[in-house]
Amino acid sequence: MIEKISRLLDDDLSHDEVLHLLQTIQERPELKDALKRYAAVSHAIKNDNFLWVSTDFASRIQQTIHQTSDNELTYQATDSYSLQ
Amino acid sequence: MSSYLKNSDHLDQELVLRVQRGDKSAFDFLVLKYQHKIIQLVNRYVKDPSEAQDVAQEVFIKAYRAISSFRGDAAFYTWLYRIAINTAKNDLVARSRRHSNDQIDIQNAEVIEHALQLQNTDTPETELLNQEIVATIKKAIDDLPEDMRIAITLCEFEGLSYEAIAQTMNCPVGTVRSRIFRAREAIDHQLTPLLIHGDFR
Repeated sequence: MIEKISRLLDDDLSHDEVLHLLQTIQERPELKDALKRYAAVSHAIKNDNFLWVSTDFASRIQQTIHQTSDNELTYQATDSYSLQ
Repeated sequence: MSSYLKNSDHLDQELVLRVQRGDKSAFDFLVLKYQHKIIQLVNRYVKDPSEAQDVAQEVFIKAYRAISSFRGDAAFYTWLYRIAINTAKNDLVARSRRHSNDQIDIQNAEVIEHALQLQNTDTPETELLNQEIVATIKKAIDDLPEDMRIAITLCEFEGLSYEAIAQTMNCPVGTVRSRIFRAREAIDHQLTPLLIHGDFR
């Protein structure tokens, strides 16, 4: 499974493999940690800078979006964004 | 690589569609998939890893709140990338305003970006540890067996696909996958004690 994390970083997995891996990573913290380390190393090799993702990065986003109501979504989507 | 890109785009579209239909957990996958790219992108602007993570979180939250307006005309990452750039520039303007009472227009973000990039927010200890980690990674790569070193170098430095690396090294794609993975494992093995010591969690 960790080899698939390596392949995920290099865009070498099929659609189904990515989906399955992402689901598995959610359930297995040690895989999430491996993804963080591999991604940080990849960035360090390219940029001479070690950029570490904090453990609660995704969970803080998750917490916010799970508190977001559908009404707020609609409002935001029709707000002043011009993203495309 | 091109077939992957189609797969990747297709997967993103599927996940976006799920989010648009109310499946919030599908957005967790998009965060997991793109968090590193977005943090790295934002960090190029804000030059402060801690600030970059806060801004990157804002990027994903903005994307989530606007996702019903995403129609798939561009790839999801292209759309997310634009949100990230705009959010990072807005952050630079906000930070600059905190440093000055002058009213600054968004168009001046490039100038502000340059000025803020001159600031070094790392402590000497952090900077030293960062240098030590980077040096450890480089040494770990130097110490790899030649076939693994070439494979990881072509992958990371040259950005070649596994297929292209296989052609260059005259070996099957499966061998390339294995060499790159084993190279990463070897680097990881050298790095783990430093990460534990540096309290990276």
